Amino acid sequence: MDRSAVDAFLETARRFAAREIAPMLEVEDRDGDLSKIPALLQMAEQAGILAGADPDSPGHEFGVWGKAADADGPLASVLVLAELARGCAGVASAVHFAGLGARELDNAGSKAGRAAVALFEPEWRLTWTGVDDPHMPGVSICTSIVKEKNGDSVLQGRKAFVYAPPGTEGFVVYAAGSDQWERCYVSADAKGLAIEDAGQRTGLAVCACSHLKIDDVPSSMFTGLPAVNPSSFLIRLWLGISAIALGNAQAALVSARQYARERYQGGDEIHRHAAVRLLVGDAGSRVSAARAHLLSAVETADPGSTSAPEGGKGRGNAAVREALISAAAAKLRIGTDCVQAVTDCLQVLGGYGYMEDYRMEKRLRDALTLQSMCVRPDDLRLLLAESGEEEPQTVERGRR
Amino acid sequence: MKAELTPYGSRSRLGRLGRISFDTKPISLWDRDTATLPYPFRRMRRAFRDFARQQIAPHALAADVDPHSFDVKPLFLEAAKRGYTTMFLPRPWGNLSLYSVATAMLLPAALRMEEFCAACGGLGLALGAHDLGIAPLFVSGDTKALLGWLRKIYAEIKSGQPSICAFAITEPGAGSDVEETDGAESAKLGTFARREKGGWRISGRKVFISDGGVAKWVTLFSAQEGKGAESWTCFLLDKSMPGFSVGRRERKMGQRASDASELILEDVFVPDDRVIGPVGAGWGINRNVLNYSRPVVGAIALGIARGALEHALEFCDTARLGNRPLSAYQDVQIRLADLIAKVQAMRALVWHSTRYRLPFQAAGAIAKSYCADTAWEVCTAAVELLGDHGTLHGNFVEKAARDARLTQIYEGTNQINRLAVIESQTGPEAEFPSLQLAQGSG
Repeated sequence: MDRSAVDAFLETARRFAAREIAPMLEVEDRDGDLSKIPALLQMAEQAGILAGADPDSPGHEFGVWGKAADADGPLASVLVLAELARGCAGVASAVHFAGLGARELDNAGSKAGRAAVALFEPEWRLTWTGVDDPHMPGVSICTSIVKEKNGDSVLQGRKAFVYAPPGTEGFVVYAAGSDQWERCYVSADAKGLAIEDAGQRTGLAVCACSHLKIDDVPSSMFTGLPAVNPSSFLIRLWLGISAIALGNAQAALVSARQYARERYQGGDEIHRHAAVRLLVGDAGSRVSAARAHLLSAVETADPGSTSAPEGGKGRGNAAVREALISAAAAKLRIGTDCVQAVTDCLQVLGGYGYMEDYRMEKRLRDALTLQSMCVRPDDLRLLLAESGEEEPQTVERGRR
Repeated sequence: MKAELTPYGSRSRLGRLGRISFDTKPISLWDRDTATLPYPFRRMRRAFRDFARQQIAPHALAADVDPHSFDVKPLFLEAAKRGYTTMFLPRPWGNLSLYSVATAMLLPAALRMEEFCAACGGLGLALGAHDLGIAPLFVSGDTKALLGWLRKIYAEIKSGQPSICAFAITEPGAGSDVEETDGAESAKLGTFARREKGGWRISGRKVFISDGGVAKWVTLFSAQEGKGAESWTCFLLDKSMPGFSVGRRERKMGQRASDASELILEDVFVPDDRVIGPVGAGWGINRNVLNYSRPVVGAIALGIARGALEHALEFCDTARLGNRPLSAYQDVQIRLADLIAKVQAMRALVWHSTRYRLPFQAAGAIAKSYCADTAWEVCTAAVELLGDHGTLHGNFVEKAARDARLTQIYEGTNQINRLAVIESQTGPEAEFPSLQLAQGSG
């Protein structure tokens, strides 16, 4: 996709955020008018922003994590997510997770409706070996497709923290097969599937979070999908979360700068006070660094190299691994830097920053959530420590 | 693991004298720290903790979810029964410990706020803000205020009335400006008092007033008409005064159970006997109140951080990864140890800042700013440590992070507090080594 096409999508996202997302936040509620979200996501779908697995859906090709992301790379999706996050990180997250589900289904040749991807489990710590093969020593995945004595299969296990936007009709479940990862699609109303709301969270209220208890779901109630290891999903997941964190922080910085020029304290507009300049300067440098890091990670996730190897087994190709390391590092660093940037921006606003009206505290809650979700920062550190000698060749790639 | 390699096992192999010097008592850091206190403070600390566990903790999460539906007055009355809301006067009028006045005046307040806020930052503040409202009556040196109004307020409380007091300085156009010297000089104030026969007419607005919506009494600071902050005078208002009303109740990120309201004054007549301290001495009273309150805000931050740490410890001990608790993993242990060390450092600083004979500007500002920043670090680290679980409201740590964030803002932002440290430490209180040497050799 050439730059002008990307710019056109960004403009679409910008206008969508201004026209549809901003009004959602003009209510006295800490997370906006959540009753408007289903309709808002439908509009996002019609605008081609929200991807669908059905080839006839407007966003199938060019929506966030639409089909074009496989051929053209993640740049457009990531930039659109950052743009949406300037309006609301929760809405951006909903579009992100819906897109991830659509990508999984579309790559598997399924046209099922909106789906959420269920990978993480209550007692599974993510490791490289686990990403490649769920049966490597030390890895224990409890969700599996079990062949019963009568020849039928049942799906059983548990999934934790499944982020499912409103309108989710089913789940793409990663399971431990006999010697590789397997995937299947389970409808939300399948017999044996219990969906438990995780409860009130710090931020991203738009995107529901659930735990799944999968209790002998019979084979008639789930559809097997081609086996693939979760590398591609994780790359997109972490790049998307990083992009949302960045967009959220960018908007916080704009608000802080604007406020600093309007607020008078200490005999002057506060943007002239060194104490405020230090905060804004720090926040600005972190946002700049985050943006550069994200673009570097996106460049590493080349099209063609981010398709996970077939069969869901083995070490995968080197490019996939490099992209995964890069995405993990981006998620870790950008998540942390964006929390610090947003908290500095909130500090500029002082007491007003702490009140719901100014929407800065929502940005901080969202930033905190983005930092800690979908693999803890320390687990990413442990993962990166294992990554060994295969250093990302991002410098070389940048010279193209 | 071989038992004899652990501290507990290895100690048992020592002789009696060796065992005496090797302390491996299985008691918590909380108990150890408490044991370092003189007996009256030890007793207080235990009582505060019991109250927090029994009366505050059960309401913490619900009050945070729906603060506008939560009535803090029954809790205030429970605290009042135990004397926790009448601690500025000695018996028979109040429950001020004369021992604490003689040794460490602010330590009881710090101990109380740590325990209350470990259970809930919002409810802790709701109780503690009452003392902030009372403080001008105490520090003004005005005997009429101390022996008249303060006794009256405490008598109401002891008779079972929820006579909460609030402290009102912040205005829409003057937040940081009412907390420090340079800002005050050019502050754009909006609340003014006009002299009339027998009293003053006050008009204006105060914002973000903790307990403003639930208080009966308010110590309010106003400039005199046509003058600046140097003319500030402290007035004692009550809600029955015509023209005095409560405006908007703020919706906050954290400490949500504590009310923060706008106070509206429309030509409120305040008689002369309601002037606290000399006319025009309000700025001095305000500055000195901050000297007393800032170490206590440090204790609030400490309590919130400790609450987050305790919940994180509990989570890591019960949640399992594979066949081991989370706390058995070295990366988790490293992080928990960091949090424990930070909380201990915060407590050491708070307790140290309350042990000066009288509170003073640098001590309070250092304690407040350091503890507030560290509390935010501790609480956000606890959220990170728990990952997705850390973002769940029911696991407490994300609430603690939201609560901790406010301690970096109120009672002067941490930037203002840093300026307060420097104001005194590069001014009359400065001591520079090279200067001392030069003076010595002269």
